[in-house]
Amino acid sequence: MLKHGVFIAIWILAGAAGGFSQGRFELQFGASAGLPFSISMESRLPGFAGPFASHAYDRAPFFAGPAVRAAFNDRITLGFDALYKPVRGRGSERFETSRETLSTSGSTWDFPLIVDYHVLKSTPRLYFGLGLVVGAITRGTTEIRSTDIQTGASSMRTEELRAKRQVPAPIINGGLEWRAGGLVIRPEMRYTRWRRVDATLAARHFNQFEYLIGFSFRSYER
Amino acid sequence: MNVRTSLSTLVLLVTALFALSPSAFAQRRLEFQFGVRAGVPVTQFMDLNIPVSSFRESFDRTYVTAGPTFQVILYDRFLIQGDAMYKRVRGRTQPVNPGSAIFEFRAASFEFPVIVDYYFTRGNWRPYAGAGVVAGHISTGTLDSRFPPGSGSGNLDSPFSGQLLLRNQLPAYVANGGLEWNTSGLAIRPEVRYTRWDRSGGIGIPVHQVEVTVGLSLDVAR
Repeated sequence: MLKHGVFIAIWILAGAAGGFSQGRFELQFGASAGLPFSISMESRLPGFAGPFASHAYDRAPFFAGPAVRAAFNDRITLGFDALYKPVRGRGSERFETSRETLSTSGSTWDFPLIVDYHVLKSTPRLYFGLGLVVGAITRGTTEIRSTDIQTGASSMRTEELRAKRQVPAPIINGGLEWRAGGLVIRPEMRYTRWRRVDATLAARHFNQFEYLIGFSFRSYER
Repeated sequence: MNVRTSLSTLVLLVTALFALSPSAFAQRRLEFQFGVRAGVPVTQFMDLNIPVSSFRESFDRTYVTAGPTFQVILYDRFLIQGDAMYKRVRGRTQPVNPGSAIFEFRAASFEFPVIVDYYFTRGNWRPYAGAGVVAGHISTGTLDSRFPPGSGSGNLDSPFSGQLLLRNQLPAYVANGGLEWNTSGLAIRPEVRYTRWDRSGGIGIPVHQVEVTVGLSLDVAR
């Protein structure tokens, strides 16, 4: 999925650059970092599994990652981010003969592709846009401590953290951009609507609101 | 935040974007400011509103509220403020019966008030007052159980870990008043803010909330 996302981003960037060859084209490289307003991951175990298993994820304290943007005609910006978020969770499961406690740690990488339209060309440049999360990766491990009810003996094992596919996920965003020399600063609010999936211990929470600030350098212009 | 709230916030944003027409901007009737706001909630921020006798609940006092803020000043007379205010939530329920599980709440609350204020005077010191709404509210976190030391149950009973997704308490209405001091491109705004929340049973924000905050904002464009 990530390969497809990167391919789509490059294809659109290349195509758009050709299409705007008569006008101004600018490439920006930088980083974005921000604060998620809600939990990023959640457990969705309905039905018979629900009463016997519980799991919770902490809200990620931050997210960050590299970003590349292409600006066309000083009006439209196409941006592609790779955003890292830490994942921490814990839980328990009850069985007939044993109890298990789970401890999860890992990370997610999201790859949003967003087209922004600059409403104002003056400083600051007010913009809003639409996009898609074209790729998402969840990596990590869950340490499971199992305790036998009869004997009290405990054992430990590790399982890979797996998340179901929830992309593409639509995005709406809006923010301000202002330029100081070659530096571009973009505080922004972003909303992502993830697809709902069930019967899994690890899924993206379907409503995601985030505040982020992007810093990038204007590195190529023609 | 539910879909209806998200949509109304979006409509508000889009309306604001269209209101900020380039012609108005060119005539310097608009001023943008961006900064932070922080302060102290005067009232208890969270409580449990259900009549139960089997446990007692307590919430830690929330000492600080803080977040990014964005302002638009129209005709040097009206101030439109949009904030994203964070508050930490920590609490627990303690059972009346000894040996039962203690439940601990850990959550983050983000409020998104949008307020329109009127400046009563011009100059460097300007009192203002206004009203608005909380356009969005997100409260997510975790709920974990643990057994008190010496209860004998802690080794084999499964600890519970669940996601805490607090119910939306909108509509919520805001009234505020404060004093603005402008110096060297920096606007300092100490203010008192009252919020009236909608209320129902369960864990939630009490109906009446008062907080004292100070906003620091920089002129990003005039």
